[in-house]
Amino acid sequence: MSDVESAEERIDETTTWPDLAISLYDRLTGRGARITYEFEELQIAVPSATGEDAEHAHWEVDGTMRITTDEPE
Amino acid sequence: MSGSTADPAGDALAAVERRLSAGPGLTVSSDLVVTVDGTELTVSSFTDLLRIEVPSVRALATLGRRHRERVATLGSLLSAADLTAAIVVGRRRVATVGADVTPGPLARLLGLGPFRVHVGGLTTALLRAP
Repeated sequence: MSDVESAEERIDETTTWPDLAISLYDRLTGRGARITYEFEELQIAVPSATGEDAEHAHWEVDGTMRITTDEPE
Repeated sequence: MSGSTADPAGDALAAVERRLSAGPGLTVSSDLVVTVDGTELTVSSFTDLLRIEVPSVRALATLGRRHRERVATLGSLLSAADLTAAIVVGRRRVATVGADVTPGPLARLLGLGPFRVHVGGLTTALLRAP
């Protein structure tokens, strides 16, 4: 089973925010992977806490980011 | 999604930080515009140093006040990934955050983590402010 497949399974089984973050990290930074993210007016409301009355910061992301994993020799 | 805590985004970032510390190094190149509450930040990198361009010292101060905890988290994440970011206002470096940064007195006082203010650059940026 590949790392990507197992990461996908972990995302399906995710029940908490930290678990989701770890699953995404594993999926997006697999061995020797080079990931290119292209954002086009991605809008995010970042909550400060859970609950309906939580304040939200409004983020918008536009552009490209490339992340390359450096594997040890 | 469960995991009800006071700061779910912070918990998620802390989890990624732990993974970054244990995992392989990362190389990041970017050409991004990130707008936070109406303030436009340009994030770019041509070497191993990320460059975060902020429109003014006033905007930087406002972001720092509103998102102090996120500044500390940014520094921790960058350090865990062995990355450093220069914060620039008007082509002057006013602060550095991330790996290899020893927190300055102001950063320690405000609990900003690996964050150092460059007084010379900050002063120049303030003097050149319109």
